[in-house]
Amino acid sequence: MSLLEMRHITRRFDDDTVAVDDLSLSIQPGEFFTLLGPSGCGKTTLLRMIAGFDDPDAGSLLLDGEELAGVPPEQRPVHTVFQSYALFPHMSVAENVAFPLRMASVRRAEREQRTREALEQVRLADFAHRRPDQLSGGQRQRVAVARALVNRPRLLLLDEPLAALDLKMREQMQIELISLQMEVGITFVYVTHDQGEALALSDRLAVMNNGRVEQVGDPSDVYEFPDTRFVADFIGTCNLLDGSVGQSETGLVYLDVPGLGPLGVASDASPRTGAPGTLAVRPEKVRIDARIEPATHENRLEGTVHDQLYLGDVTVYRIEITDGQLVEAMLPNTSARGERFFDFGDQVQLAWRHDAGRLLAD
Amino acid sequence: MPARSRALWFAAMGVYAFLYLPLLIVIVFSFNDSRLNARWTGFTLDWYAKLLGNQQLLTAAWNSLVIALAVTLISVLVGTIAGIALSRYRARALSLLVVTPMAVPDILTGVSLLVFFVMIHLTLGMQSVILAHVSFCISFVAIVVRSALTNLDPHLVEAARDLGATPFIAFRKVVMPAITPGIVAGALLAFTLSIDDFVITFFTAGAGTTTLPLQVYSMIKVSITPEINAVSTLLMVMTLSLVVLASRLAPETIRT
Amino acid sequence: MTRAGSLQTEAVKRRLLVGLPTLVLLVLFAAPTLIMVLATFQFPDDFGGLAPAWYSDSDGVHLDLTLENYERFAGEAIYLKIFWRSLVYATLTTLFCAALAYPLAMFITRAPSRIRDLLVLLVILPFWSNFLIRVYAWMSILGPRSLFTEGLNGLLGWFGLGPVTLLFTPFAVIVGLVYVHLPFMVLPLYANLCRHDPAWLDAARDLGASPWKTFVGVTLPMSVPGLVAGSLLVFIPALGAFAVPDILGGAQGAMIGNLISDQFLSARDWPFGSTIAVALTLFVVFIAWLMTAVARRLPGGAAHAR
Repeated sequence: MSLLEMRHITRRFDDDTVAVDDLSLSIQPGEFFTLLGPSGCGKTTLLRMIAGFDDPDAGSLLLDGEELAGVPPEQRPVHTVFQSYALFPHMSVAENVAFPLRMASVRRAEREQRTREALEQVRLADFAHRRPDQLSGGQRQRVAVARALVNRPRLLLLDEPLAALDLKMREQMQIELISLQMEVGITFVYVTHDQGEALALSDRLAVMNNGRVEQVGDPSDVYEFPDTRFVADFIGTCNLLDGSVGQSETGLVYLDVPGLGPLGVASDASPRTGAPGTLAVRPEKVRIDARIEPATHENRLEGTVHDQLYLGDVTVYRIEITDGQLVEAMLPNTSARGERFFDFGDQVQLAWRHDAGRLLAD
Repeated sequence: MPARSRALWFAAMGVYAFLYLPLLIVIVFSFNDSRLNARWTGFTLDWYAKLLGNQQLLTAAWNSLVIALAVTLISVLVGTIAGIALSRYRARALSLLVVTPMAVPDILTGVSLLVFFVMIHLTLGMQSVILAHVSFCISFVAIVVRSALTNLDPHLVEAARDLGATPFIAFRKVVMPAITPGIVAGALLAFTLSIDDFVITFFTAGAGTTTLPLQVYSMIKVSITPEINAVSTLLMVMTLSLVVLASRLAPETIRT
Repeated sequence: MTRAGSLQTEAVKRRLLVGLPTLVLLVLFAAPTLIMVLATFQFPDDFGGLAPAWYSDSDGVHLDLTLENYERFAGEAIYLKIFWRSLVYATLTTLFCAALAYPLAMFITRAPSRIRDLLVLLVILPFWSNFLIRVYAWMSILGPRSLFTEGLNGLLGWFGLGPVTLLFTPFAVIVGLVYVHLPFMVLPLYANLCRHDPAWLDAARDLGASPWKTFVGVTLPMSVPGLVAGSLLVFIPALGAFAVPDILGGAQGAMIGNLISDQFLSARDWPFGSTIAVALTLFVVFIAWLMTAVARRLPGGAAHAR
């Protein structure tokens, strides 16, 4: 049985905007699940409904098979790590962590024991008597996690908990969160708009847009096989080539893309000839060279280097195929002394395998 | 949750009623056709008409006006200088001298000034009241002007100088426009405080001089007539229009 | 202009800007205060005012000072009694103001942001009407023949209780004091409450606290600095109140302020009046110091000390 079951949840606000629209999801025990989407996609509203700060207008929320509607937040075995951490400034670190235990009337000796354990778990045992304003951002974040985990909720909700940290700190905290989650075995539901974070942390993730789930799956599935144009575009970068379906054979569809000709893409679907379609292919799957030998099961294009973006580890080249039509290719900077492989205006050839692309039906 | 917010709503409305009902009653009774402040018997403007014939009251009003204007003039002059000084320099003594009078209960200010004026042989009257009011109005003007200046980007003057303005032009074109709302608000505040003051005036006016609040006080103490309601209503209208004016002229500085 | 010259004009400018207002306030505030302290050691003049602090005869100049006023103040029970009464009234006023201001400040904090300023303005607005009028308004309400008093007495009669008098009683004094000082409690409290992170409330609920425990455990301790600031702004002027007890209180309701004004205006014993005023000043300073010191030690105080 899934731990948390969301069935046809809808939430409208007073001004009639739909924040969450007929959404269904189920979250399994012990998994690190991420809700990923741009701001305003409804992910935070969904999180607040799970925590109990808001109620759905329609649909049901089941935790361990029991309906959550009408249960006030303090009675739900669900705790939250807030984006601002929401540490109580008038309490010490230890008092903050002990707060949920005190509310649950845990005896003093046990309370102190469990507070100490929780602080050790996040390596803050030495900071027990500090006040929150005497801690760094990363330390505060760890106190918030320890406080939310101390009385072992069924579900831990994390609302963009790393957004306020700088890049280095964020990477370090990502690693800590993963190992902490494995250690305590509690189900995490993590909300973020950062696709890199979602891919790095999650067992599974759901990409949300306009109050709906666009795609659910494990990170590599979602990245490699985006189901929709939105997912392909929101996660990573992607060449999106619009055209219409031409001839198709078993497991292969040819898409007529204006200016590029027919491009093959592996697909189990057998769409109607003439139907609109989009070919999605990630820049890192596109090979680029001065000359590429034709091969079967590959698309091959010719063009000139339109511009290039040097990113340190890789360089992104934009190749102009015909007037206006650009295709991006990414090349790791593997040359020993950093010489560029191509320059503006160079004639180059591009190729990618049919099964490296993805046919999006829109 | 809704039940709790409704309880909070009722409590808050109760407190607002507590704040406004007394004043509303005064206003209503000022139009009441009865000598008693107890029952509504009918509408009349008699009490307002009577005010116009009350020579003592008119004299007191004139005195109040003269005093308030003089106080405003002096305290704006000194208070503005104090405000500029406070925003520019770390003047510990001045800052203490500005803040403390605002924290002292009125009666202490009143009696200490009385003792002081008598000791320096200053005749009690309009002049002593003006000096007394100035002593507490300076602080308010200084605080308002200083807050207007703290909101001023210090680089603005430097930018003006950098772009070729002389110190004088920089002051006139940059600093003056910035503190004018503060000065206007301070002036209105000083005027209102002066015209409204009772306790300090009570001790420093001496026997021969009355102001509007002193006149109202003696009306309350001697015999209560609905005329007081009418004076009160007029005073409320007057101060409220001053406050509205102040908030129009200097919206951000009036909230002190 | 040379560098030294410009430094010099800067120094002159500073001396003028700081010096002039300092001088004015020294004369109009500091000097009267000091002279009042001096007056507490002097003898009263025959018809009010002060006897000279010294006299000279053939032997030279003699100081004519005394400690009599302090001895009298500490020695007679009536003065300490009135001091104590004022302390009780001011404390009750502060407590009632806090009780009324808290729900109001909370309500304003939680109101939609576009009407919040208006709600605050509505708290300040009555404060801008003349002080005497605000006190006088309660005379009509608490007077023996008012709707309020008659209604209350009707209700009491229903329970077999005798009619009560409201005007010219301690009750009327405290109502009046609460009324004129309420905004001073609401504003600092509101300023404090609106700085609270709404996520604190969510976090407390989320971690298992009921609404009531959230209030007691989070909101209330965090609002201590606001409550202390408001209490100072209410307690100090309430302790020195003169007009409110003078108008609404009878003989039973006299406070320190009335005692001082009696000495100056009817008993014409200025040195003794000054002594009471100095005692009040010292007391006010002590209370202000005490309350800020206590607040600093309470939870919430440290967090907001920054």
